[in-house]
Amino acid sequence: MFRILKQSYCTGLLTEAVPAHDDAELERLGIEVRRRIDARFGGSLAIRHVDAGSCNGCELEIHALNNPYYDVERFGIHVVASPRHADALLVTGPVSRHMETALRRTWRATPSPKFVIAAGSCACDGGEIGVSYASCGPVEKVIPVDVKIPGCPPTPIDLLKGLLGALEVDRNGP
Amino acid sequence: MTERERIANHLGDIGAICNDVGFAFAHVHCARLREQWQRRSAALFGHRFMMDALIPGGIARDLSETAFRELRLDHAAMHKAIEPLFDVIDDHPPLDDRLIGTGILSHADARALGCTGPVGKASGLAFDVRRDSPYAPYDQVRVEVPEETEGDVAARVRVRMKEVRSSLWMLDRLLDALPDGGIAVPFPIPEEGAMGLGLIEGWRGEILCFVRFAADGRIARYFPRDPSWFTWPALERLILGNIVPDFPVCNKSVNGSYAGVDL
Repeated sequence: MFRILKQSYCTGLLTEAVPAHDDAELERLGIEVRRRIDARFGGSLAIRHVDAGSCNGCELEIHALNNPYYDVERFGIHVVASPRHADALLVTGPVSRHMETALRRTWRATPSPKFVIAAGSCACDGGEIGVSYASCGPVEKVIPVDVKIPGCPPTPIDLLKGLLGALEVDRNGP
Repeated sequence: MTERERIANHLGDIGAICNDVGFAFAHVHCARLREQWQRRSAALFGHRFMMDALIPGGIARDLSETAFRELRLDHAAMHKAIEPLFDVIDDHPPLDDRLIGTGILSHADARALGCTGPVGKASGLAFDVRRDSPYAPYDQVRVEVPEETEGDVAARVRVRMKEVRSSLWMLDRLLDALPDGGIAVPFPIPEEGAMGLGLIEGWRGEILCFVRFAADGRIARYFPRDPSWFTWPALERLILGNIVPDFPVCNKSVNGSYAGVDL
């Protein structure tokens, strides 16, 4: 027990301040979407993540959002285990044909008002994979997308900026 | 780079296994170390996962003298950080209670399914491409391959901890032996029908890749065979007789790739 306390004490607090994002980025995320979330979700966002055929690179960075450096829960963003509990879907990967129906059904199972975030180049525009016999391409070909966070994979900071931009959380503190 | 990747992912796995039995302390600290490690990768190799650092014919960017020093400091810092942490994970009775004897994969099952990587090594199959069929630069360095025989979740954690240590040791030796000179050679366009087979020890185990070229240098067929092809069936076997709440930790201790199999 003392070893654990010592290690925790010596490490201290790692969580970093929220990155400032520039106006162009906010513009891209869409002021309309932001206004809607502010009105309907009141600063707290439950996200259901759907891997629609990703290489899992995006998943690693989404998991990194929960590490002590980024600690995304402090902004009221938490990942939930069912679309029934979600305000938003976070979709990664090009949509593989195997996942097309599952993604549609997940979207239908999410209560309105809801919105969809496409994370990663593949989800945004098809990326490396594009459209093929196995892939439908970008998420917007299957369900409507409100916010796009490009990157291969988007870094946790990119994801955070995208999510915060969408939520317009008070940037000065939790 | 493979060793850096191995360390990052093993740290993630060790932390996640502990987290699945409610030991958040280890999870947070492993995540902390992994994040620092990946930030260094981004600074020196240009990407947090070192994507696009390897190109046909070589590597994309060279390491500067400063980078060498930074890498050495990075290795030393990681070594110093993991010791007290692994010490706790190795000897923490509540953790032992949950991990020892959980999700046992017998040696016979591991052998029949052809498991490699930490899953095989924890069940007494100490096969490692780096040692048993060495490719450059592993023909120049001693590769220590951990082997455990219990085959339970705890053994898979111990294998990962030992691999982190041995990778760290190897990284410094490999840096010492890194030759000067060019970092890439021009890659000639392969003729139609040219085929190739690659075999390396990834962090999940043996990765095999096959490629065949079509005309104009296009790729006609490409098949990467992830080690998870053999560890997913192993998961089916090792969960038998375990309680349902232990499924997540069994799953995590195998950590099969979804993307690497369900292509």
